Amino acid sequence: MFSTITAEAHCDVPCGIYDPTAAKVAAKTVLRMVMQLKEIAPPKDTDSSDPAAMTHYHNMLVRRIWIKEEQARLCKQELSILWSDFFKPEHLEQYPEIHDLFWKSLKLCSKNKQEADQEAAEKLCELVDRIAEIFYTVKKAPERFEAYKQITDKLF
Amino acid sequence: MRLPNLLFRVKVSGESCWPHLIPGKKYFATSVARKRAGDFIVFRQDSGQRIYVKRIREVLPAGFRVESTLSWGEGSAELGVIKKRQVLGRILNI
Repeated sequence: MFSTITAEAHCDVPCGIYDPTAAKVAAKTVLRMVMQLKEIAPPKDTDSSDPAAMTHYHNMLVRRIWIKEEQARLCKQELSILWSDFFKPEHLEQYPEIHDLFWKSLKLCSKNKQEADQEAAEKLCELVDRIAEIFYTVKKAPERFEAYKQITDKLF
Repeated sequence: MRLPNLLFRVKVSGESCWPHLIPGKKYFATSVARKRAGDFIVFRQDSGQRIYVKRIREVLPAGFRVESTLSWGEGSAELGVIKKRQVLGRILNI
């Protein structure tokens, strides 16, 4: 007698709290670590036979490599959440590049773990920015993209 | 702690002057040697007790503009121009 329809009241937990800023901070940290790794020189000849100096040198490198690894992993996690949980089919219709953009970004996270390549780190920041631009557009808050850029571009 | 004037030892803490100054290593310093650009000087914070070691970037009439040797370390942009009265000495054995 009566037809039944399904009305979705679905909501993720935590509801609606998505933002690309964490991914950008992680990507910028990766870039910062790569730049520092390039700058840290081995001890000078006069100190190269000093075990403490060599240990410190290795520690300086490993700490940055570890941070780079961890932040690239975190960036991948943050992007994956946006991709799988925030973006919906209607967003894909509006921005057909979304899948390719995320796929390339996640691949770049892996590349940044494997290598210490400044170009790859800069490219990751660039792709995260594009994701953020789309994110704030579909959130109908373009002014937040400007705020995001102002904050994350000046992290260092 | 009172530091001796002519010759004293400095134990470096922190990596801002890497690889010229090794953290944990002890260096000799003197208060009497002339200070020029490129020298590493030991100085006391203008207000406070912290003691720093940095490289002289530029000698000014009022003192010294200093820098770290790693780009992310502090220098005169953060610490200001180091007045001559703040300087305890110059590192000798680099």
